[in-house]
Amino acid sequence: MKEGTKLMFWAVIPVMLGMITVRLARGTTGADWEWAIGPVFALLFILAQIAVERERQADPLILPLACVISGIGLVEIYSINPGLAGRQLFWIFLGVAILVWGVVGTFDYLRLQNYGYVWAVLGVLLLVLTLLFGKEVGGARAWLAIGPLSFQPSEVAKVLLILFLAGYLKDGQEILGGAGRAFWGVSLPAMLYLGPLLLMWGVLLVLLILQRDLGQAFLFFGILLGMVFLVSGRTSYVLGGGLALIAAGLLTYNIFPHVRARVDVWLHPWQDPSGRGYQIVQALYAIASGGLFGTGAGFGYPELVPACETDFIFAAVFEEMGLFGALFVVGSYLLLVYRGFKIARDAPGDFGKLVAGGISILLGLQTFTIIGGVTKLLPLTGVTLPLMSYGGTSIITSFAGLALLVKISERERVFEWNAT
Amino acid sequence: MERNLRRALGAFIALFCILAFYVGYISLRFGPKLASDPGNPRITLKERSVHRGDILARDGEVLATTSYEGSGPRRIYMGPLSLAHIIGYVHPSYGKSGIEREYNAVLISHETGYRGILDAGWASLSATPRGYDLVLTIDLKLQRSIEGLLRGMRGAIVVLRPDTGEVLAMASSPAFDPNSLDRDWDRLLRDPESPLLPRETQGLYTPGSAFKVILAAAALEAGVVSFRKVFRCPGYIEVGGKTVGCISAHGRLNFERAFAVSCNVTFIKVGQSVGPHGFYEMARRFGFNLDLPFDLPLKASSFPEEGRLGPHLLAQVSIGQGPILVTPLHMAMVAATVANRGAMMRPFIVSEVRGDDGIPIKRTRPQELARPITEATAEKLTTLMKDVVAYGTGYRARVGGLSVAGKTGTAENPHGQPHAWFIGFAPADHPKIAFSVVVENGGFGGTVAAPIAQKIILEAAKGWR
Repeated sequence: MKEGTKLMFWAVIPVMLGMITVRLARGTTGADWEWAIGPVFALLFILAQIAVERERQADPLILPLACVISGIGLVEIYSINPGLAGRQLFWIFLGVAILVWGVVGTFDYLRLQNYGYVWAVLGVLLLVLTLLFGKEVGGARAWLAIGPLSFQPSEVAKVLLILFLAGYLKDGQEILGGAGRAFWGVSLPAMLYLGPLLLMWGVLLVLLILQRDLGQAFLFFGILLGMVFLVSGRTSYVLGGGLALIAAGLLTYNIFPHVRARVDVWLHPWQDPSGRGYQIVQALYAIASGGLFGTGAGFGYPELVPACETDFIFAAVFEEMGLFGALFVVGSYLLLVYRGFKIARDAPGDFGKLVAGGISILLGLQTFTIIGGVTKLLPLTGVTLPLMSYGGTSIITSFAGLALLVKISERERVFEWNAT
Repeated sequence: MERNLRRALGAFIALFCILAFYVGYISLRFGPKLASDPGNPRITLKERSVHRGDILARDGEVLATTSYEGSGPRRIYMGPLSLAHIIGYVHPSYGKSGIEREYNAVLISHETGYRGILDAGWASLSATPRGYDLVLTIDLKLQRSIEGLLRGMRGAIVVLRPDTGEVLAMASSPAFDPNSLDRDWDRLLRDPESPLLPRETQGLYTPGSAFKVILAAAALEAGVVSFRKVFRCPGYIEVGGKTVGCISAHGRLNFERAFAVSCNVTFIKVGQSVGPHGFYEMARRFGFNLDLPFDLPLKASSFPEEGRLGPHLLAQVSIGQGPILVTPLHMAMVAATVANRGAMMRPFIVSEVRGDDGIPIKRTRPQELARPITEATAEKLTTLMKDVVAYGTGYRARVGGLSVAGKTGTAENPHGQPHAWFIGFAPADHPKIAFSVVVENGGFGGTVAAPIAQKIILEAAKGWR
């Protein structure tokens, strides 16, 4: 048995234990079909791992990590609402299926770079459509409905735009990073090169801000900054971008009352604990009630926190699995980000490096942002916790990103193998 | 680009480390306090889903328990009414008080989650979990017997074990019936005698001459006075243009006798010899102006800062008048310190936290709070306090066949008759109890409080054979 498959067996154990514990805690209120959630989940991932590892030299850690992370999320969603757990399992199944199909299939990711501007156009289109026809949920117009189903286009747009950026930037190493007459650290050719890009990005950000989806706007900005850094190596771009971000933050704070409200609640949640501060206060109570080892899966009251199954899933983990559970999750995400960067490093071409790097940056940044928001380290932004939050769009785009990573890693190993 | 990737990864490692440390910090630092914060909805939910633990007396007799008769769980109080303030109550509208409040988290806590299943087996998951029980230090026989001693009066009694700090009995009068709060609440709130007030821990009184114990301690430790030092008392003394009177003109008397008869003139002179600094220091060492630790909220006793002690104020505090305020519990602790050879023990009323099967989860161990005086000083004070009962103002606390030590107090106050105090311990040479008795506006300490103390000692002595 391959290394990764052995790991996968280990990875499913905590998830199964969690499921059993929650089912037992539910006692007589639990239904019989709920016993199946754990085994089905485990089977899905073990089969997927075998499929991915069968003939390929793909990265063996990505799927086990995804299994542990999405599994812990599934346990908590189950504890909160078993019906949702069933649906989440379905989304995870779809996501894993896409990943396996993408990896096992003969699809060559390098072809993606040829469609550069298509991705950009698609991304912008999605956002425009959301602005015009979107549903408003929780103060942000972030959802698009097609018939009975609704999804979050901005999540998809993020991945599309990583693909676009990778294609656009991959040839820009000399222009952005090389020597040249510098004008406040930015050379003239660089400005010309970046100009159109910044313009388009500005459009995107405005669209997002108009939709009141500030969390996504922040992430888009972060992806751009991160990928430009990867290509140029110049911290001056990052610093400049950071300053622009602070300026934008101050501007929106003064212009938009809801931004001011967000920041006030972040700094002084206890001033309005039953009104604006209710969500973060309940999250803090949940975290505090967890202690070191948690109340035990199914023994806490995570459902007391609003949006506990989506944005605030981490608070549920913290309550039922304690500080150790929380640190375990943070560590797992860090490992995943590390794997992503490793895949980027070993990728054979600049396009692959940039895609993998971009996805890793997105994963790391989004995770940090939402966990920070839930624990009051940062102001709250309406972004999901990748792989853990309940939601079809979130899960599928997360797995799609992982699929790209594994695909790129596979190519890398094949390349090494050929070289010997 | 490899280098840039590495640097980007480094940035994320740093970010996640910050996150990890922050998360650990808030969890460890704010976690426990937030979790038991009354605003946490989990507490109410948990309370409803847990069988609240019992509160037991020293010998295991049940004082408070949860009954499931009728519509849902109800708390029933079976102990003597004098324990009402200590045990407190749990009421859906009127909230919680006493031990029920301070130990709420313990009474609804139990092993949860994985450990709970392992300990109690699968069966525990369907049964309603039971919170921990509390065992108190209260001696029920003693408590019941002191119950009637304050009938019709306002005041408090505290009985401690000097060597451990255990509270053997504690009563505040008037009291109330925690079982009939629904019926009585409005009346209790409006009653001018404040039956809901736990006078033992929240009542602040002027101590009067009972405070002379502390001044004597200061004088003896400073070497400013000896038993045989002679004083002259013409029945009054002039300080700073004002005259302070004494109970009678004692004439020539030594310090030992002056303590026994509570001569104000002598003590004002002693106070002057000790001086503001020495006096303030001793009061501080006895725990004045400090929040002393106890299982229930305890008001801090106060003694004026030494900078404020001009000649007139110094004279006042020397006889226990003026801006001194004490709680009955604190005065019992003062007596207990003398009884315990100068070591002040931490008072406590919860002796044990007991789990489901009767096995103790936590036992309180006696803890020494401070040593305000040396053993030698304690011995001298014991002799002085024995004299008070042998031939002094406290003779009505005498018990045949036993040596009793004490000090009377008659505290002038602006609300009418003086407060009657008596503090002390018995048997004087191998003390088993230390106590304080205060009767609000009761009159002379020797006349009103000392006889109550006598009855307390007689009752407690039954258990000493």
